Amino acid sequence: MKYDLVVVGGRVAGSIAAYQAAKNGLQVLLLEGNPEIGTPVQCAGGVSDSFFKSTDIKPLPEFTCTRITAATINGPYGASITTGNPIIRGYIIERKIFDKYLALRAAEAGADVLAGSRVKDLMFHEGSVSGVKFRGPDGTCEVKSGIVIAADGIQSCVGRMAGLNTRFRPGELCSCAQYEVTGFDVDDETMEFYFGSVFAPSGYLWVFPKGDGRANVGVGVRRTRCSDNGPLHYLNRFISRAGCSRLEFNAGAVPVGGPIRKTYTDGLLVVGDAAGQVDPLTGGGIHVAAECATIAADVATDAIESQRTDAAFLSKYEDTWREQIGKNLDRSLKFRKVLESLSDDELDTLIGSFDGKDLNSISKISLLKILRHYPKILKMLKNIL
Amino acid sequence: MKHDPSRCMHCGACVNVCPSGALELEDTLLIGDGCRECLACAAVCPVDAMGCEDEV
Repeated sequence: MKYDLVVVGGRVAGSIAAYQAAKNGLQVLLLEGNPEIGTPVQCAGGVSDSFFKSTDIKPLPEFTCTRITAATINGPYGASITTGNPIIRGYIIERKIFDKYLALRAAEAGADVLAGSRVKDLMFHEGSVSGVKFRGPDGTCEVKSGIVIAADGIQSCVGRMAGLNTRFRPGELCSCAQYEVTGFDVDDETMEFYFGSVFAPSGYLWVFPKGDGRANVGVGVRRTRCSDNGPLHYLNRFISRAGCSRLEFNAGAVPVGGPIRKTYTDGLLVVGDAAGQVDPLTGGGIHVAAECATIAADVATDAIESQRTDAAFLSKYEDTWREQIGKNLDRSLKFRKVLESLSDDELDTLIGSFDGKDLNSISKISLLKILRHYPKILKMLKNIL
Repeated sequence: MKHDPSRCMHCGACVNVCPSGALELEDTLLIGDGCRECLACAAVCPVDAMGCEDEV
């Protein structure tokens, strides 16, 4: 068996890369290690309108739960602001169904998709990645390929097999736990966020509505900064007040320390969570993964067509994604560092100071007026803006 | 290093951060010879499935 491209991992990054490459005319194999595409879920499901605009994927009713038009940000001591700013408009999606839809879309574009097929090793030819060995329902198989795209998520073993450093430091991972609950009092159009050490030290707690009293309620914390307690501790504390039923439990970790240093080598590209392509401020990775996966697929297509699968040629992938989104990720990382340096008091006062102001039309000047009482934040913002 | 399979959610965070590359995720988590009990895995596990003998 030989393919132009083998994509390892059938979630957002993998399925979008496989779709794009197949659409470009490559022979593509998409491998997913889990027996079912989309499970287990490791996501809160918030996706903004810009994702659907930029990918040409339609927000179909089968995987969208609710339309989001507002966000409420709550401080540790009760300060609260709600905004209907257009940038937060989007949907809460059902990832299980969404992921399967994306894999189906890749298959319809011509990619071969195999679930339950876990990559055990890479094959090399003259120092370049030349294929994969995987174990699946039919036993162990070897598949040759011109290029491998590693979209294998936080484990990121495939990039490591090719000699790339895909390891994160413990402080760069946000550990998350989430319940899907029912019987919860939520507004179906509003995402809720809770900040402060009561709710989620060095992270945040979220409540994303899914309609009819259902919601994804989750917590993300960096345990290196609150090591005694994991996210479950904070999640249970929040949920116990509500006394609601739990329909699902998810857990996982999100890389929030920015991308890995090098995302390509001879015959291989790394995309998505595996490459740390996640917004460090929000932990959101769907839109970033989609953009990087599309770039990876296009570069892989050029590489196959020019018969140049060496690192020198594939470096174009990294140049392009860094140029397109690198700056945004850097800025988000700086913002996150500003936020996490604030005490609970400062956080609550800051959130409170926006109360009653029209956040939809807040200008840079009025923002600076609010922030002039926070010299620490201003000083840090100077380094960012 | 002790691993509690009844809590483990197979998320792979520990596999990523292990500095010795001693962890491998199959149907269950495998702890290889390289483990130096540095507890990097415990520092990222979302469900407290990793820890020293007396902790889990």
